[in-house]
Amino acid sequence: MSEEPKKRPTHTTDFLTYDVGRATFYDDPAIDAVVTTLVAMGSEVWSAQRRIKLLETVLTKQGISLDDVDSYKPTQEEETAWRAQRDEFIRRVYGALEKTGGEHAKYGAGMDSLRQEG
Amino acid sequence: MLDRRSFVGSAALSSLLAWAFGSSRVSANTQDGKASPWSAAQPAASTSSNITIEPMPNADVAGRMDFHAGFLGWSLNDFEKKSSARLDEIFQERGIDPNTDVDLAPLLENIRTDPLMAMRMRTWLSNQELMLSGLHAAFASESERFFDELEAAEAKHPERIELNPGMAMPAYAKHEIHLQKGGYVGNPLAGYVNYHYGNILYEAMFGRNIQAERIAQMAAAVPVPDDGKVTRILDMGCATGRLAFGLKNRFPGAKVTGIDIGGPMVRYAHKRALDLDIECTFAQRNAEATRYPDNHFDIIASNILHHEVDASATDNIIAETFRILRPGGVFYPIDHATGKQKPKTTARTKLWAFNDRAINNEVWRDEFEARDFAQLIRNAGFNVDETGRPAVWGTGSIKAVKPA
Repeated sequence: MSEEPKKRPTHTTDFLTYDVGRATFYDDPAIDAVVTTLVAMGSEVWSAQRRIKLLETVLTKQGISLDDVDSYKPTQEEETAWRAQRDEFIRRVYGALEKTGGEHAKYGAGMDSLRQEG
Repeated sequence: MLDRRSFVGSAALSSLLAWAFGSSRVSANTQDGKASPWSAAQPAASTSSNITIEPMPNADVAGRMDFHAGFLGWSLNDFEKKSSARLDEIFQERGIDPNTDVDLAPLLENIRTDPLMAMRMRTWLSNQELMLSGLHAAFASESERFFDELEAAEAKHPERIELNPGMAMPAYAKHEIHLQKGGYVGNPLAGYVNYHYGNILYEAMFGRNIQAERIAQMAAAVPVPDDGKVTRILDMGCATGRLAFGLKNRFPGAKVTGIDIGGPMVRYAHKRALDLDIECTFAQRNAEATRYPDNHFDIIASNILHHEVDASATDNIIAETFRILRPGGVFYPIDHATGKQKPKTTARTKLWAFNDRAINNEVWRDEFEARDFAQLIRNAGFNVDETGRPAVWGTGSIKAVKPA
């Protein structure tokens, strides 16, 4: 039986959630979602590129040829773990597409609320 | 390469910064060496050499946040220039001079439906949400480690931190300003998120994080009471403690206390103080009713607190400041310029202010800027001088002294 994580004091209180996340700038909210996905994709691609640069620098400093990287065969455990990480990557990048339209999109959210306030 | 220099010189800088930062935090003129008339006779501020940057939780998060900083920099520089030009065209097509104060409401639909303006706002919002939600997720996913840090700091120096779980929390403090998830009171690791968000913003604006220099400038600008006595200093609305650290560096012999209504912010400030080996005290208290004795502090300073609270709280905070400041003591609030110091309102500045509210969730900015903050302070009984140079570029300038 796994141990229950210990409850730690958070010193938090309730808060008011913003509605700006529902703001749309296009008549078809799918475009809003696609733009967000493109930004998220950029974040992932650059992060990966940066990590590769970091790894290559570390490896080279330790005398490891980058040819060894190209010829490496992942273990089964590695394949399994990487698959899970890939799926998490997909959710992170493409999750915005799940929020296309419906309750997730409110035409002019944020802007409308301001208009109502005069 | 992004042309930050030309962006920094643009006419819309002040309000754009305010939009981007939710405040006018960034100095475009930090290296000019001109001394404040109030600080000319004061000791030089300590350098920021002991202020180290706290690393991101891991290399992947660092990579993503590096991208978001770069993307924001592009948005606020290259893309901003294009969208500002387009905005001027939209106004001019309707016979409106963009340098005049106009009613924006009838034009919002024209702005929103313009392809370039829509893309500018959409991409800014997407980046902001991904950045803040990414930071939130990064710290939440390793929360045990960060709780350990906070608790270890509290165990090491319990006498330097006061937390008040269950204290009444006013509604104005519960908003998710800048789209920070949970805001400053609802996420137990809000201090970590806010600290790194601040670093990203400075990186985006200037290509490097000049925040420590800016804080040192703020601390250096704080006026000393005429009698020279400085033994107790309060940083009101201290957030992650940056100004308190700057004040302690400048006044090493004084007891420096930071208060904030957010427990998570106070906890982070305390941990960070220990990391930096700076002896400050932090307390979770409401600036409207601090519970400090009358005439207690020699100096009360604040860094962009007041535009984050509603008008009623602003009035209460000013009254409370008057009560706890000793006669001859100095109140030095660093915040948005209001009243006669407020920059000229134009169609463009109004749009950025609108965006600050509409897509950056700066809930109280308009209310704050609509009032004359210096006059409110004067009305409370302070002697107010508005003629000094601002602590840093882009902020208002108020030195208030409680009559002796």
